[in-house]
Amino acid sequence: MNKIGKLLACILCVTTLAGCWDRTEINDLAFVIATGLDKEGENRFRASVQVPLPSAMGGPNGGGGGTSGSEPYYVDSGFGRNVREADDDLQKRMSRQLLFSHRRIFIFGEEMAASGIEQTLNSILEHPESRLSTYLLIAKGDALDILTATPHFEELPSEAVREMVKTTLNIDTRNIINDLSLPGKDPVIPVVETVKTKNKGNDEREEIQINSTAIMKDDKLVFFTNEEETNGIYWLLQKMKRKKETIAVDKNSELNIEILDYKITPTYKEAHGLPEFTVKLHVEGILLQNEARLDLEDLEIYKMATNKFESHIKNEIEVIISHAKSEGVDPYGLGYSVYKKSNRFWEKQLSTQWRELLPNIKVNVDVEADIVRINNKGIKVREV
Amino acid sequence: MLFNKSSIKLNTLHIKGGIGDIKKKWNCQFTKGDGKLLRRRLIKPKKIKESIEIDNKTGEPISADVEENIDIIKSLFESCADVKFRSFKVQEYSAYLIYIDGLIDNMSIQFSALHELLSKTRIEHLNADFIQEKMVSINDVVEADKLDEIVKQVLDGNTVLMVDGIDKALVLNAKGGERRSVSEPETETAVRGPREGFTESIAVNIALIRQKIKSSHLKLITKEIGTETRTIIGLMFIDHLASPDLVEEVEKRLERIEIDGILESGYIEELIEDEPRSLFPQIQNTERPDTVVGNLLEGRVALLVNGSPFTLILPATFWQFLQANEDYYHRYHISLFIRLLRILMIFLALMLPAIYIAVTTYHQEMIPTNLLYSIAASRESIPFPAFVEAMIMEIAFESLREAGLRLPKVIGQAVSILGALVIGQAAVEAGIVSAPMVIIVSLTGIASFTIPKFNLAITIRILRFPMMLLAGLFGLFGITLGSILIVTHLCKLRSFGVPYFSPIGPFKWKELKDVFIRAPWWAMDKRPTQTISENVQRQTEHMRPSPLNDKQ
Repeated sequence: MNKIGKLLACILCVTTLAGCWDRTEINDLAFVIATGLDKEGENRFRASVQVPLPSAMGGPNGGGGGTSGSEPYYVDSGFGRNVREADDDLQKRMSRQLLFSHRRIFIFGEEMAASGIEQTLNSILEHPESRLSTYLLIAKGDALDILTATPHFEELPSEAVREMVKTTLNIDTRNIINDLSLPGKDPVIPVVETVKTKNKGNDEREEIQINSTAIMKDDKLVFFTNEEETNGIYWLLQKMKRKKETIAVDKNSELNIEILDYKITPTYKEAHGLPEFTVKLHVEGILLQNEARLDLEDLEIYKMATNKFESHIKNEIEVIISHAKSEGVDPYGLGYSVYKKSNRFWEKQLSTQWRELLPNIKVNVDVEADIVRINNKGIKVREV
Repeated sequence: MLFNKSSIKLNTLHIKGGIGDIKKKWNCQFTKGDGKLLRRRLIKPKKIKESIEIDNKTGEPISADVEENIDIIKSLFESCADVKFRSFKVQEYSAYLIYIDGLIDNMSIQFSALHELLSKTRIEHLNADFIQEKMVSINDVVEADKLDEIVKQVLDGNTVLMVDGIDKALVLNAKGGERRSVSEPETETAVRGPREGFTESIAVNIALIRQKIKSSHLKLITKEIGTETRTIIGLMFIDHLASPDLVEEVEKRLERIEIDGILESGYIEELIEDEPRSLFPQIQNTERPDTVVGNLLEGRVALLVNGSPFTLILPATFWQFLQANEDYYHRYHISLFIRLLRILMIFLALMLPAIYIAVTTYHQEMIPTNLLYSIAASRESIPFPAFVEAMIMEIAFESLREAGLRLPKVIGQAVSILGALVIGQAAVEAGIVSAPMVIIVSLTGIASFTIPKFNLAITIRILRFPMMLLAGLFGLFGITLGSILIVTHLCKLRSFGVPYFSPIGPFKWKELKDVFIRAPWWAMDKRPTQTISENVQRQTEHMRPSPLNDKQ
């Protein structure tokens, strides 16, 4: 055999005998798109995964037909002393290899969140398949309930959750890990819950809702915000753009205002060894509906309307700040603003006892609001 | 060991061939080393170079006795029924017209030669000059005084007149015969641009070029190549643009060719290119005179081959194969877009199936999640791995293309129906291939059709398969390896001394205006300097139409 022949034989051997290293066809994989983690007693966790069923997801032949009536996804849970062990437990019941690189949401159960999530976050970071763009959420109740819920718009519950987080708080793993590592700032995590549709009678279906945020003390859950406080958090974290506010003018009439843009700047003065904060907001709004028939071209009336708007915003922000302060938590990052501006002051006087100092720190909220566009006030059903 | 074996073979060769020269030649190669011999044997089976027998009898001068001459010529043209001998009398002298039927222009011979010769004018003293000057009214008449020259001229399609008592023959150039007329080239159609294309006749082709360049700087060197076909090769260049070294090199390489026949310019291309083993074409060919002229004006050399409408243009760079003549005729905006599109498409044509294989079998995390669902859904019932699936589809597609190419048009339709229905639809419905794979393969096919020059498209088609294999074996790592190999090879390649990948490697910023984009004409002041070193200026500067320029 000559040289070329030998070479050819070698190439043939390489290609046929070695096979394809690490080759995994798509049909041998189970794409985990959501994981839920619940605490089941001391050092025992339940990891639930949601996996789409490709055959039921509408292939060329309209879904294969074998899974008529059921959902196009599959949820199963494994138990273990940590996430990895629970995943391994799960794998025993899976004919396909679990692949976590497409995980889009990661939900912690309420109990789990209350006992701290840092260890789990670390294990997520260590896992090469995890992504930092995964959305982290905390469930009211068990995380498993969210995974088994049946939202109707999307084929997959996780997809619904993801879309909702994106349009509300839009905080993913990367943000939360950042917040955890910043001094004087506590993470805020969106809260997901299952609710019933608000129809009358028997027509009640299960839906998923994101209507609250979880205020954390480091990696532990402290409390869930109510509706007012949630808006306050949105204001503080710059998530209020393009959202709508309804402001009562008098007993029966309201103004609906869409937030066009706003700017938020924290400032502080040092007084008696403690900082005194002023959070300044400059808000621009668009008037969507003028139920009160106010003539905003009149300066007096305009001032009255913007004052109402300002005090509405101020209230929302003050409620959450005072609640968080009283718990010794700093979701906005007041401490961090000191850390950035006057590092020495922070290191020497505040850093060690920030949580104890917080309830005594004064925070002023200063809102300046403008209504920059109004609707056409000439349109009426009847001339009066 | 190897040496001995070869020398035994050599002996047998020697006996078979019976030509002493061969032994010398082979010995010469043995001293260069066995490796080279081995390579040579693998690439090209050993062939005995037989010298072609030339009858030396014809080297004799023409005798004054016409019958004697005719006898010799007739013996040479034995069993050549198409060679005609027309005997007649000029006064009392017997004369002959020798020609090949179908190669001459009957009318002009009849009216400008035969008619005059047979007329009843008195002739005092008949000699060659008299006939040439006073009798024959054909514009191109040459004297010949050797028998072999007569044979050659007859074969070239000339008419030879021999008159008794004159020891010279007159060669009357009145070529004719049926030829395809100038028509629009089918391989390079253009929406805008000249509609004429080269024909099989080199004379017509040269005229087509000459009609466009009315300059005495346009030079033509002709050669005959092919011991049997004696094909005329025309080497055209503009002498103050093309570098003399290049012309010399081309001539030298043409000189080397010893072959029995040249039937197409492809023969020449293969015999003179720099790296015969490379998949990439190093010489461009075209059917369009305007493309040739454009390239001549950039200092390149054109090689015309009689009998082929495809003219070679050399040297060629990689980017030349991505340029169509129409790029220069439309306004530059669309050319700019189309050029970029072609770059993208050549990438897709080469890589798309490979990337699909790599990503679906190794890097599932790279696919957008929702796309992954639909790929997974359509792959659910597919029995083959993605690589095998891609191979099946690509081979099916390539064979469909090949089948459609050479069939009569009537049957061609049947092939396309088969292809569309059986491969496209039924295979998906039967769950043998997945729908995304069909899309990938058809996209690849379309992408490869956007490459304007067919010979580069072929290269890309072939290279697609090793890329797929690499992707199937090693994933994106394999694709990276393959790309590195291809780019390295492209950078190493040269075409007549010009780096194949220029002006990207070696990088020349100023010449990029005609590579990825086509700059407007008023911005292309300079010619590319790959082949030109002098006379780089193409046009006056600041030609951009503007009211400011008018004021001057």
